[in-house]
Amino acid sequence: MNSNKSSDTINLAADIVMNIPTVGLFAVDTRLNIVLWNRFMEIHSQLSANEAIGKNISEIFPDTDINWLSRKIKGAVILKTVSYSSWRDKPFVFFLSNPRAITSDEEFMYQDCSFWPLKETSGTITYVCISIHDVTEIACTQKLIESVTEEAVRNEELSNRDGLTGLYNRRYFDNQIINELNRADLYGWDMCLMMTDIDHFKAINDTYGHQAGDEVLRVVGLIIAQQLRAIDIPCRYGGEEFGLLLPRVESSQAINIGQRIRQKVSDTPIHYMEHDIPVTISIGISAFKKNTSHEALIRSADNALYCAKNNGRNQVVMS
Amino acid sequence: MSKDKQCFSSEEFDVIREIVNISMGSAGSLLAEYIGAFVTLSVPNVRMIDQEASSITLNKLGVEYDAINITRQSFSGALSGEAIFIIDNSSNQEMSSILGYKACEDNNKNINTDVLLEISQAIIGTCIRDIGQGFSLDVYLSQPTIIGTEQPPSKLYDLVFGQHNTNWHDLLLLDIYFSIETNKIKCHALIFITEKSLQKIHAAVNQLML
Repeated sequence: MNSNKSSDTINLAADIVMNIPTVGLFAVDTRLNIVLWNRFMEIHSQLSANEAIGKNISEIFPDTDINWLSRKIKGAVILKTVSYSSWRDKPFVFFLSNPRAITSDEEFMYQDCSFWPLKETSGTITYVCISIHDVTEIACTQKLIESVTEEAVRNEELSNRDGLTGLYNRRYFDNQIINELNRADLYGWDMCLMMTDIDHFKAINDTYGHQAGDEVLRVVGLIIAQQLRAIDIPCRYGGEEFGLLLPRVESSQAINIGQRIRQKVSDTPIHYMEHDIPVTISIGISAFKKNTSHEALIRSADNALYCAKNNGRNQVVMS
Repeated sequence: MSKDKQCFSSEEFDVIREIVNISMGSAGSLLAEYIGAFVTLSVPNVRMIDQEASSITLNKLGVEYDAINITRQSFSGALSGEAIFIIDNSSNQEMSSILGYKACEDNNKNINTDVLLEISQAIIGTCIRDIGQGFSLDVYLSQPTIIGTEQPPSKLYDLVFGQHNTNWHDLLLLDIYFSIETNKIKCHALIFITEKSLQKIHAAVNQLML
């Protein structure tokens, strides 16, 4: 082989390694002292090769997790194999400033790193090489996608809720009735629907004002939610009416649940300004039977509620 | 490359098992030195598998564990494929104290992903490197990724293969079971070697059989 040509190749390779604009490359000995420092490292650490070489990593990067880094280096030396770190798990192995300092609010460069042993001809490992890829752009995009997705999920959840009470809204409830009805039908499960109305709500509004009325709605909604299981679906059906879907509950259990809610509401005067407002509710319940349509289920709970009102209010009626 | 399904004779399989065995021996002693603990490896289970067999293997493997953590890592070169590393929650916690990690500061996270990535890269990296050397095949490791943490074992197959349509048919599987500190820590490495490497393994094996 032409020795000039081969030394040319080595010089060229060294030039590439030292000046590659996209990758930080440096090497340390087994005591973590720097032995090589390329141009990327000079620029992003603002330390020249002359300043860096001979210094310990812990001096140059005092904020680096040195225990973790030592293990990485030890791994490369003993196991004689490459290992990696990803920005997802370790965003800043080395604290280098983010080159995109003006148009992003990230202070540091996100990085993917690799650590591999440099083998001497004798086979012993004297140096470990470390590469740094700047993945700030990817990390920022990924984080943006994740935050947008999270927000979309939150909005979706919010769009199913009633703003005042935090219970589900009518649109979501109507969809869920159909789903639960199909499930009950398919598996032969029981299910009950409960319609609940605050007694003399108009009088509360007229006497104490609409803000008091809102407070009553909010507290009654809270009491209802506290009495239910996680699989029950409570909603503000409209105005002062609440709808409660109780999957896998049969008539007698539903009556007990209804009585418990009714009792709790009538035992809890609602504070508003200097007033303690006494509130009662009436409840009508219908039980799902095979082939009942959802309209029929609602109608029959509404009829039961109407009976409860006519019979003097503050009571539970099973259709 | 031949379109025929790559098959190994039983003699060839014996040689492959022997090479993998020797490689695992050297990997095991390096790992013991690195971790600073007693490491035993099972005799690797070496066999050809198709997609159906892989689902049976992964479903069976899961039942030994409560909640599992899984990583994957690719290797390329003359020897190419992907390795899956599986460790259960309590083993990962034991490993964390053996390696001298401080207790996890984030209380919502039971699993220290630093530990998971460290041990999985050490085990996969060492095994792949030594297997490559055993067959005299060049091999490069890529960056690992975490597939799942604290997952029920029943989800193992879906996490590894379920998200996409796989287009492979037959792979060489090296299934290795590790026990560290006499069963305090148990973990598994499944090394799937691609069809395109099989011919090279075939040639390497026949060279050795001469």
